[in-house]
Amino acid sequence: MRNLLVVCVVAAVVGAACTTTGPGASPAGASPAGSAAGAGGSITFADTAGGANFQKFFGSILPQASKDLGIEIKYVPGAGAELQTRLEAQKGAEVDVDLILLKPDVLGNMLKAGLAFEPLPDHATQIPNLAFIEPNDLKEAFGLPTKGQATPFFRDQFGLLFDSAKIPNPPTSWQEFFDRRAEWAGHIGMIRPDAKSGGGRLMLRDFLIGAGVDFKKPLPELQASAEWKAGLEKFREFAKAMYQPLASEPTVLFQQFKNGDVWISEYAIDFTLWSRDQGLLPETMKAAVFDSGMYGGAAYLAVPANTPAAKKELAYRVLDWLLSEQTQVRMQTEMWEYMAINKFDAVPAKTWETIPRWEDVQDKRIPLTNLDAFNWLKENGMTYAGG
Amino acid sequence: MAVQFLRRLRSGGPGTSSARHPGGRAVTAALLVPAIAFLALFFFYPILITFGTSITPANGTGVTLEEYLTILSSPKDWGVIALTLGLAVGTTVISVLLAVPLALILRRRIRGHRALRLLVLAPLMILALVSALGLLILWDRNGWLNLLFSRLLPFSDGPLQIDYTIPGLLIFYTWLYSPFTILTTLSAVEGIDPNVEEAARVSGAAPWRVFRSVTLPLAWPGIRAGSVLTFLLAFGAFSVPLIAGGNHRPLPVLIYTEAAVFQNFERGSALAMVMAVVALAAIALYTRFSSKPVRGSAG
Repeated sequence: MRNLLVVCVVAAVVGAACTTTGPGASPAGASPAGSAAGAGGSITFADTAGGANFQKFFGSILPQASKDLGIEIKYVPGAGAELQTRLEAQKGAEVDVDLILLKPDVLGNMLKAGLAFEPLPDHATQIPNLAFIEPNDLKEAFGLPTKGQATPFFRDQFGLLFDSAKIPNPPTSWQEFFDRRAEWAGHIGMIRPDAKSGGGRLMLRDFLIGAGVDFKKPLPELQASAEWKAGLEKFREFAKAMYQPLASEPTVLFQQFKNGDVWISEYAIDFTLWSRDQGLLPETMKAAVFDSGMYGGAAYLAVPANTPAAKKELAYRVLDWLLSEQTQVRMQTEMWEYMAINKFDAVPAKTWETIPRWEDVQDKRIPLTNLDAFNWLKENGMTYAGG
Repeated sequence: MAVQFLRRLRSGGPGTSSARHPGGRAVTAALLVPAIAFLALFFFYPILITFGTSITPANGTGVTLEEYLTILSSPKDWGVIALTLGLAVGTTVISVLLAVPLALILRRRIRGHRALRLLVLAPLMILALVSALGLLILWDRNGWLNLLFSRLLPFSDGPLQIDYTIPGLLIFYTWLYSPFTILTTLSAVEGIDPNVEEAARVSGAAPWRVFRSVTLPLAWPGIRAGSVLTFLLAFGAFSVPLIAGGNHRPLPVLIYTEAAVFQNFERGSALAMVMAVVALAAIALYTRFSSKPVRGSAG
């Protein structure tokens, strides 16, 4: 009797395992959910731009895309440099990646390495939602000429993040933030400039830009300027009002917000508010962007030129689905990324109570430039931030 | 062939000379090859590469000891080394102080001893990074452990400052790494023949004398092995000080920052080599002095 029971249990476990590892399942967890999924073929979608939040997001939306389109989508998250090496190795042959999500620097590196992508405007009939992308966004990515080889998928933005329950009237400029620092003394948060996350050094850079430092100047010229020296000293003063020790990584900053040690900081709006929605930060967190500008980035979708023709057709359909109003609005409301398509009227008005509207942000976005100066801040920032 | 091999193995006990068994040396060498190959490939080779990087100038040509000289002449780097050593030694001492009484209690098979044994293993089942974040939350000023202790302690007049402090790091390290000392100590204590202690008691030895002269010396090899493990793990701890250390950043965090954030692989490698040397020296000293029998030992 006992043996029979064991046999039954083993059979049930084996059966369950076979079901979950059958043809419908994929290791990335982004396999099609519906019965029609995969009937129309499959593509590999490499994500080099999304963090943990996006892996979760894609895990939730791609099964729907598979169901809607009948295409199996193999979702593969990874690093940009890694993918570039693979694509370079497959130059002149058919690649095994059909759709890529990548940041502008990775895109720039790939183009520089001679990797080519399909000019998407040539396939506007297969990608009707491309019509909702600003034409200039198809020509360049933060000054990098792309000639239509990539389309924005989302636009991430840094902002002033504050607990509205503790700070009902947040500052509207770095100067005001500096002047009112005594109000929040010991509760201003920051990630260490020498952390793996670039959040802290971006906050320092944006502070310096707010103090009048011109980051277009080369580093030696910048270091010789009075604005640079005054800006750094001003930051040193500002840092005295910060919660110490500074957070070593974003999760620590979030924890400091959660337990009430930190009330206000500058960091990525998307990841912060997404983490808030996961219960990791106070529900009363809100975001704002100063007029002097704050870091803004984006992620782009591209189809490699040497993807097999049949796969390209599928990739265009998936790309169009990703640019659809339905997906883009979800990204805006769930991921707190600004949409790539110009359909902001479709976003629920409530969203703008938490983050500023796109029209209030788009001219204040400062990309990552002057890497020499940025690296200097990375290596020396702690000297000024109270380390 | 196989039978001959087995015969050779069976006859090749301790003290068997290769001369008596001409094939013995070859068999020994053959048996050692996998382990030596593994060590060479995954241990010595990476160390060699790290050492090579540490003495290569940034331009990639020539040899330089600049990074080592910079480290040795930097009070800040000495401070980091001292912090790393201090945390490792402190954790080891606390672990031993916890392990010995706990092992003595658990060997009596008191009620709930199984649950207690399982509880000791808990830190080993949780990822260090997750543990670090969890401990940070438990001990922050609104954390329930902090609230509990701040109410229990008579001298406390508010939340305790545990997170981002050295005492906090010692608590977190002990939580994570003491199970290694506890488990080996428990195993050693349980291996002691109760009759030996009984004989001492019957001969008129007081409980403290029995403990000091019989139990402790017999359990010492286990305590020593566990404490070495705890020391090494605490010395190399990374996730906990990264998340919960604040400005107290020991060598592993400094190495990570230099290599992964600043991309300064030369300095990162030099620091890694210094860390390896310090750890080896500390362990060599410890094993040398701790190998002497505990005072009052029967053996």
